[in-house]
Formats: sequence, C-alpha cells, structure tokens
Amino acid sequence: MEFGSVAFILRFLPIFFILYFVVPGRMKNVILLLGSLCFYAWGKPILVIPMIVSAISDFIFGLRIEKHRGKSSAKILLFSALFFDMGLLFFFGYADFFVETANTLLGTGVGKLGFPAPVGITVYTLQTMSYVIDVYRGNCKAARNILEYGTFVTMFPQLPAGPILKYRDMQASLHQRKMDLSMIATGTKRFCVGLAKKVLVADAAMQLWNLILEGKPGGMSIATAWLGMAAFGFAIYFTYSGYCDIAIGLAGTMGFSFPENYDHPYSATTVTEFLRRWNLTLTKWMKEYFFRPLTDGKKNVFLRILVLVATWGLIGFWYGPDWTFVLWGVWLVLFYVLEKLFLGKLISLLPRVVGWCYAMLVVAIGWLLFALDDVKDAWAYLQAMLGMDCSGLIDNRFWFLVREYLPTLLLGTLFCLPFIGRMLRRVETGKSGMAIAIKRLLEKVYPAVFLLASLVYLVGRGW
Amino acid sequence: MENKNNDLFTIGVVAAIVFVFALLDVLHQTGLLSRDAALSTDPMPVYTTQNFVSGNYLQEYDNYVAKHFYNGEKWARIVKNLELFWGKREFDDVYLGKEQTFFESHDAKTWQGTAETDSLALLERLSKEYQAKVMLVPTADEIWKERVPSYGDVLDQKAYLDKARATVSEQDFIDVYAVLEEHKKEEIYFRTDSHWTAQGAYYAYLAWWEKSGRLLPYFYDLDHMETILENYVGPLAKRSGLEVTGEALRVFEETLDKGVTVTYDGRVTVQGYYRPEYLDTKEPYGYFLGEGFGLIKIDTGLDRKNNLVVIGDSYANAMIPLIAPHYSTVYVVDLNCFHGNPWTLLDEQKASGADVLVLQSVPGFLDSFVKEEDVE
Repeated sequence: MEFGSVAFILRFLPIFFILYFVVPGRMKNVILLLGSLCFYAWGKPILVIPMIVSAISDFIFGLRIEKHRGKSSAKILLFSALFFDMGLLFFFGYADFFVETANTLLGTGVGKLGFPAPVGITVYTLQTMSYVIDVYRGNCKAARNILEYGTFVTMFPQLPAGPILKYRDMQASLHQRKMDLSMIATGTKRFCVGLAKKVLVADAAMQLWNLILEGKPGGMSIATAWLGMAAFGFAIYFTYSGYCDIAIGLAGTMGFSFPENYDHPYSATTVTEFLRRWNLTLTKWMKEYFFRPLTDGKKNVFLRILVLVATWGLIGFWYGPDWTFVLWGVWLVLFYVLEKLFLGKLISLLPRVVGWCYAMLVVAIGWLLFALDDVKDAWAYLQAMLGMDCSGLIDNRFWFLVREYLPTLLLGTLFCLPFIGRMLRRVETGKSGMAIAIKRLLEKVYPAVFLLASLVYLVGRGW
Repeated sequence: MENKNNDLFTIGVVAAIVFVFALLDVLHQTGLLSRDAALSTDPMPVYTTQNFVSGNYLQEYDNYVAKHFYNGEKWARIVKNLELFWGKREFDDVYLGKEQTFFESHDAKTWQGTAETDSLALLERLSKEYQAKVMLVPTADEIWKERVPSYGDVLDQKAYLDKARATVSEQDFIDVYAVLEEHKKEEIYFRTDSHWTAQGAYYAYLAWWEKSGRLLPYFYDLDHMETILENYVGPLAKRSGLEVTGEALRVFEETLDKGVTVTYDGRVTVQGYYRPEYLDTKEPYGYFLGEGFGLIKIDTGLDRKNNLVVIGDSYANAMIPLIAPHYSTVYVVDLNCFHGNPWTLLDEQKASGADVLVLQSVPGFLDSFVKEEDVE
C-alpha cells in the first residue's frame, strides 16, 4: 500500500486508528502488528511470508545468541542469523540483478526468478540484522516477547522508506509507551507535512522530470536539462523525506519516537555535509555495523578509503538492485575523500555560495546515475546539461515548463532549504506581537490546509 | 492550557477531515449517498482467493477507490482550476490557449527525419504518377498562433508546407494556408476540437475549385448554415478535464441532401454524409463521415464525368460533402486505417479518368501518411 493513496488515507488509517485507540494498553501492539501485516500484504499478500520468517528467525536467534554470549558459539549463531537475513534479502530483492550480471559477464542465459521485490525488505532486514548484532555485542537485551519484536520488525510507518530503527532504541516504547496529547498533535502535524511533500511536491516534480525525459537529451536546451535535474532532485528528496515525515508523524501519534532521517540536504555547502544530511539512519547504520567493524584500530589509510567506498557503494545498492545505484554512492564518496584530502580546505576559503554550487553540481550529477537506466543515458544527459550536446542555451520548452510547474518549483525550493524554520524561530524570538499572532494562527491551520490540499489532489488526480 | 487546546484543535480538525472524507466516500460507493451511474457500469472488484493471493484484488480495489470517489469529477475540476489559476496551460498534452481555444501540443522533433522524408516521397509519387492535387491543411495552432499559450510547442507547419509545395508542381498544390490566414478571424476551426469547421473547409473548397479548372463552384450559403448542435464540446476540451463553454456545430444546409449513399469499409451503408450517432461519443467529430474507416465510398447519385479518389485523414471528412457533388463517386482512403492496397484502387480509378486529391492536415500528413513501402 502506498502512503500517497486514497485507500491508505481514507480506508486503512481511519479503521486502524479507531481500533488502535479503542483497545487497551498491551492490545495496541496486537493491532499495530495486524495492521502492519495488512498494510504490507496489500501489494502482494504472499510477500508477507519472508517478513514473518525473518521476524521469527531473528527472534529465536536473538535469544540463542544472548544465551551463548561470550562463547564462540555465539559468533556462529550471529553469522548464521546474518547469513539467513542477507539470504532472504538477496533472494527476494537482488537475485534477478545478480542473475542478470552473471549472464552479462559469462554470456550465460540463466532465467530470472521474476519475484517482485517485497516493499520494505531493505528496511526490515537492516533492522533485524542490527538487532542480532546488538544482542551479540551486549548493546541490548534479547526480546522476550515475540509480539513486541514482531511489532518492531513489521511496524508499517517506516517500511516504505525508513527511517531504519534499532531495537535497542525502541525496546522500551514497544513494551510500554506514554501517549500524550502533545505527542499525538505533533505526530499529526508531521503526517500532514509529509503527505503534502509527497502529493503536492514530489509527484508533480516527478511528472516534470518525466516530461523532460520524453525529449532526447540532444534535443533539449541546457536550461531544460538543468530544470529536469532540479525536478528529479526535488522528486527524490520530497518522496523520501515526505515518506519519512509520514512515518515519524504516524509513529508519534502511536506514542513512538522515530529518529530524524533528512536534515535539509540541499542546503549543504560540501558533499561531506550532504552525506551527513541524507538518509541519516541508513548512513549511521552502515557506519556502525559495516564501516567501523572493518576499520576500527586499523591505521592504513588506503584500507579505510577502500572500506569507505565499499560502504557508500552498499548504501547506493540499498536503494535498488542496479550498478547505477552503486556508482551513485561511489561517486559521492569520492568527493568526500577529496574533501578530506584537500578540497574541503579549499572550499572553506571560498564564499559559501560557491561551496553550495559545487556541492549541488556533484549531487546533481549523482542523481543522473540514480534517475537513468544506465551510465550511457546518464552521460548523454550530462552532455546536455554541460552544453556538449544540446539544442542551445535556453528554449521555449524551458520557459513553458517553468510556468507550468512554477508552484512546484517554488514550494520545492522553499521546503528543501531551512528558510521556514529559521524564519519561524526569528519570529518567536522577535518582539512583533503581530508576527507572533500570525505564526500561531498558521501553526493552527497549516496541518488542515496541507491535508485538505493533498486529499483534493489525490482524489482529483485519481478521477 | 492554551497548548492543550491547540493540540486538541489540530487533532480534531485533521481527524474530522479524514473521517468526513472517508465517510462520504464509503456512503457514496455503497450507493447510500447517491446513485452514480459509473458505479453500476464499473462495479467494485470481485473478491476471489486467487485474485487476493496474486495481489490483483487489492490493486484493483485501490484503483476503484481512487476512481470512484464521491463527486470525483468536481474534485478533479477543482484541481484543474487551481492549476489553471497559477498558470498551468497544458493538460494531458492539450494546451488551453486564449479565447478558450484548445490545441494539441505538437512536438516537431517527433517528425524530424524519416517521417518527413517518407511522407514527401509518397507525395511526390502521387503527384507524378497520378497527377494528384495536394491540399495540406495547417491546423489551428498554426493559423491561430497568437492564441497558443506563450512558449507552447508549436509545429512550424509553414516550413513543411513549403517543402511539400516544392515537391509537387505548382498547378497541383492548393495553397490553403493563405486562404485560412485570410479568414482567421472567423470560426474556421473548432475551439474544443483539433479539426476545422465546415466553414474552414468551405474556404479550402473554394481554393480547390480555383485550381480545378471548373467553371463555377457549387453554391453553399455561409449565412444560412444549419446548426446541428449549439453546445458542441470536442475531445480536446474533454481530455483537458476543464470546464468549457461549448460551441456551435454547423453544416451547410445544401449538404444535408439524403440522396447520397455512403458505404463504410464495404460493410455499412447509410444515407447522407452525416452521422448524428457520433455526437454523443468520445469522437463527436465523427459526425462528419464517421471515424476510423479505411475506405469510404460515396455515391452521389449524380451523373458526372468522372470519380474522385481522396487520400485523406479526418480533416478531409468536413470537406467531402462540399466537393462530392462534382463527382459521381468519391472514394476516401485513410492510409492509417486502410488494410487493402491503395495502389490497386488508384490504378483502377485513374484508368477510368478519376481525379486524385491528397487532403491531409499537416500533422496528419507527417504522422499517418505512412512510408511508401508500407503501402506497396
């Protein structure tokens, strides 16, 4: 089921929340678990099986690892658990990719499995893996209650796009959570913001990108090519961050506190800063469970760089089973390394706007790898962006599309940079009574306005 | 206390919106709120275990819920009007221009290269071997350029016309561009449709007559045209989803003569040029000689010295009623739909002295005037 669908908002959510708030304390986990399974089963019911298998197996592995902690058998159990989790992930999410790669390299003709990748498998697999590792390391107690653990693994808000949760952070609230009015209200507001980001900005930006992509790169002007890149940048950011806002918001209304996942990545003035602001829970996960175990205590710079590049290659791979995603991660981390070596110091001497332009150029080129099917297409598009193969500097199509999508572009710019937050803080600390009154009024009405606008758009577009 | 009230307000308003929308929708789709004809023609997906396991049921249910929302058309219109308000002018590949005129967006790049070369080659063959007269009709976005939204993609039809003119002899090329340009302030095109009106076709008919060497044209009374529909809304306007004021669909009174027998694809025979049954369909322009037929044979019942073969697209249909009385029989071949061999027909008719006329809109000429080898 998609967050941005009428069925989710007008069928699933009302029924789910009525049941969730009606049942007493401990039963809430039952409703959440069942609701999550329903949500997950909506796409293809059978794909709920790997998730259940993963939850049950890691629950058992967790208990066994804890029991054998400190013994060599614990390590064997840990590796068995990780092998099992990764096996599920690779089989359901990446098998066809590897078959295709092997066919290309070896000239074989092995048939694909043709499994549709289960939604959220990359999210819940990382969650279950971090759980067994944490239990092994003694960072958290093994779950004793299958219901609580099952709820953690299957919880629907974070399944589509994260944030990636850790059991150790959620353990207490899975057992008992306090639900106060302020938390529910904050969650409600966040949900409305996320929905508006997805429906009003991301979908329209994706539409613009697809429109531009209809023309061949060589036939478009430089300005149109850049407009397309900006549109894709907005689409990808607002889709992911919108989904995360929805997840954080829904979790809040249920009494959970989810970690933040995006921190205005397009305000970054270096690639390092961008990477620190993009999909925080995923990068933290990779740092804690992949990069550090392989580099801690090792001083060999080349090894550290190699592991770093591999880490970001895997982060890219998390987004999808294609080499272009791996290249996206590698492309970004190369600039991270260069910035650590010398580029960072150089950029710090220049005005911030120069740094911002440089960072956004690198990010935009990275998005080409993300957006297009292969490197050849990405290169052709980049040539149009750089004026090497284009139909001129600017054309009518550019102006036409700018006018058509002006609200999307304005909203996108406004919400992806930290203007609004800064302005609101300034108003709050300022002395203008009128400004504060307007701010309070806006704070009251914006959730309803965002929700209503999103619903009208969803319904209107569906029709 | 104030914070608590604010929180309650936020939660209450958001919950109310979701629940009101959900309730309206459920009541509507169960038929308790209103009877919607669309609900009976497109019933809710049927649950079967197999359907459920495959995931199709839930997918179909999702689509159904989105498609049949309470007053969906009105919500869609609100969205379109909002988009219109902030400057959007393209809706589903349809431009809304000035004076509520709708245009198809034409991307010239689509037709660059072989489409253009092949169409011109075929035109040249028809002109050389069959002495075909050529009438390529510019569409509204060319003649009513000033109505097209600023920066909208328009095809430079004049350039194609010049190329076509250079391909055939001057005597065979009928310059409709100049004629339509001259009458551009009149209702020569539909505002809501991609076709020209009978009035536009009439001016083109006069241009054809001038080149035909005939003594006099037939008399068609522009001042007393018959209004068939006051509120004609063409498919372009419908596709855009915007609310529009309809326009008049008029034909020349003189063409309403029922003595004409029209046979469609050798199967259906009707009397007269017009097909009122199309007016309520998605292609109301089919009123003029139907829609999507490969070969239309028109027996005018008049004793004339020869026949006419028209190689044309739907643009031809509005002009056929005007030109047909000059001939005993008119064959209209739409290369896009015709499954036979047009050369056989052309050879047969040419042997008996028939005239040949290529009558296509410029985009139709580039789009559906198929490659020579395809019609060999």
